[in-house]
Amino acid sequence: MNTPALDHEALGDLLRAALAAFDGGDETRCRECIETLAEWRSRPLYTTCSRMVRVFNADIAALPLDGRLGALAGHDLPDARARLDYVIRMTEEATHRTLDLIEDSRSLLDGLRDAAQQAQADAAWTALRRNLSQVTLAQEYQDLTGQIIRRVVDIVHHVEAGIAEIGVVIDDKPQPQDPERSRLSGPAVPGLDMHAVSQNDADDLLSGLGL
Amino acid sequence: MDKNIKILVVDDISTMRRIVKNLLTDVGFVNIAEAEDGGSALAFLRNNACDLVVTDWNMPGMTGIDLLRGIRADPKLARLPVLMVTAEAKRDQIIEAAQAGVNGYIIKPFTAQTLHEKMAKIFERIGVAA
Repeated sequence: MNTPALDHEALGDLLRAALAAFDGGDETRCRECIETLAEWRSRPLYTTCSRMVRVFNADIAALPLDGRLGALAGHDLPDARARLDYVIRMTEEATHRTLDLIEDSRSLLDGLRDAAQQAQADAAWTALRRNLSQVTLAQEYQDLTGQIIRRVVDIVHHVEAGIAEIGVVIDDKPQPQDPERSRLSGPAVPGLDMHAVSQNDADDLLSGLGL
Repeated sequence: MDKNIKILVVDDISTMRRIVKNLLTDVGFVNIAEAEDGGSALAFLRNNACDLVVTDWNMPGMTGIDLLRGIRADPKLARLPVLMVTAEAKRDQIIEAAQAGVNGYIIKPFTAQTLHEKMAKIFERIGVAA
């Protein structure tokens, strides 16, 4: 122990000084002596605590925690999020493109029905054929988003493996969510969301309630 | 069913609003307005005549269920039919919507047929059917 221990003599001096100050009415000096004694008394506790903190810090530093958790949180997860954001953008654009072409085709169909001349009908027909090709092309988003989502599934798998490797016990039981988030569960995924009912069940439920 | 009725489509996802609008215009409805959340829908309804609201549930800002409650709580709008079109498919939620006074409940993904059936049923019940 590296605490400068008070030897027998020093302790005696301190006690006597405290008593003398007490008898002499020197309250300040008396308090100083008692505080020094109290400090001496609690030294070993401080020493033990700080030694424990040092050992603990060394143990944590020895774990591969920092680097790997940092890589997961700092790179893998933002990467997955950015990819999924791109998927949302891409599917949204493809849907708008398809809807544009459908709306255009609908008015072309009306034109075809009302065409007075063969030339007008031919033009509408050609434009419709072209729109159908464009609609087909717009579906290529599925290939790309499918590949991106597969990448994200790989990233999630990697993160899961990384967490397991660090030694965190993986609990496969669902965690209770905060009430407001779990209240709205979003689209039901077959095989995962057992709470979901079908349109027929919903109809039965509502007719049971008089709707 | 009268094809000139005014319908308000409420959904935060623009593609979904277009799809519902497309399905409605496809069968001849011509008077369709859009809103992207419950708050702007309610503001629209307080200033414009409307015969049917088709709304999503889960939207940022005011949700569909709060829009429904807002409509039922407003004496001028209280009798306006509301059709919920939502991905929320829990029994509790369907019951909650029924208790809040919904007139129809469609679970996404849905078909054009389901949409038209539910609309026909709503207007049949309130006696406006053509």
